[in-house]
Amino acid sequence: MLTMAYPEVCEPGEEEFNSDAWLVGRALENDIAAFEQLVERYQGKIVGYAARMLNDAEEAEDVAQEVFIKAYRSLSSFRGDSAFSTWIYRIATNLCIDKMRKRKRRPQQAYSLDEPLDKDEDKGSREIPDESGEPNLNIEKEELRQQVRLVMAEMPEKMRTVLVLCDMQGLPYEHIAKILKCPIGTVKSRLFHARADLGRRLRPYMSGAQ
Amino acid sequence: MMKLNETNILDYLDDRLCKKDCADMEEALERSQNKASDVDDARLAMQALHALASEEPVTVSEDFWPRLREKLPEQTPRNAFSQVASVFSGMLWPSSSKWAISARVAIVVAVLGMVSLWFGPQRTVTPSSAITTSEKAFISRSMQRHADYVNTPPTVNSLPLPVGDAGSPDHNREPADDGYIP
Repeated sequence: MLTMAYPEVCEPGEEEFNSDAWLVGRALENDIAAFEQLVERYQGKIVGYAARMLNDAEEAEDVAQEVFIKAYRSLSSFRGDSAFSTWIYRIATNLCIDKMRKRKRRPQQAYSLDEPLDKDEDKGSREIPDESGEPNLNIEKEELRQQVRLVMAEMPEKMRTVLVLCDMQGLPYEHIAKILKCPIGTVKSRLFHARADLGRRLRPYMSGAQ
Repeated sequence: MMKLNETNILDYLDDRLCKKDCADMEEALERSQNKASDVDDARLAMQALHALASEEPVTVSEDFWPRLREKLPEQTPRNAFSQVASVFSGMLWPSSSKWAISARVAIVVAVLGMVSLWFGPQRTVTPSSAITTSEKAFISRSMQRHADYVNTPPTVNSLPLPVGDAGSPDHNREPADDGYIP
């Protein structure tokens, strides 16, 4: 039956054994260890992707968990036409965009760095460790990173998605086009305009940080 | 001459152009200040994003899988029927490609055609008129003559109806020589 479901995997040779398609097939046979392997293979990428898209490392893990739960539930609908990585990135993209839209409807909760961590015990304010011997350069770099996050948060979702997938996740254009289900030309166009827009807004901060 | 389109510019930024094309691109950018400015801005953005990704790596907590495992639903064991069903559904609905869409449309049209043939309205055969208008006229004249004959009292000089006449009681009987007058 595994052969019929995934005809390209007749007998798992060295290359096919432990491939994504083979693990999906095993997971469909209720082999939870196979799904665990898939999670371990992609959890770093998906958590990183969600963190860049949402600008929140804590929420990124929750979103990544939702991605894998959704993938687990829909595993039987994965037909193997596209790569598993394309499929899982597509689920992650849709969930991140949903979260970003919900955020826009909700007022943002701002955290003050001077506010005590625990108001009852009054332990003191938050501290960011300075691990470099060049405080001025660190501050400028931090300002630049802050500006990058700010500009990206204000970008339209489509442009932000291609920027994160290409320049932060390092995916090739063809893969991005399959994830977003759009032509490669569209991906390149969005990427070009997103980069130009980001660069234009970062220019005043770059000269100080370099 | 190198065209300053988005594809070529991205290839230039990704260092995917050969030396000659690269030189052509730089020559073209020298002639277009706007595009040169966009290219510089794009390069700046790429550097900033790569720096952000490398200086702030995202790590995954060690209890990611245990937490996820608790949330995963229990999977019901797949019986032979569900496995066969998934295989056949994969054949019928393979993908979202154009061929798959065409196949689905063809299957739906074929099913609808068969249903309409099976359950469609039966053809009613309207029987063509067996009797033409002239035949109807002949029959009515014959009936009228018969009625006139029956209602008219017999006279001496009346002659018997010819044997072949449909109104004659001797119809289909051989004419007799006995002088019988009906």
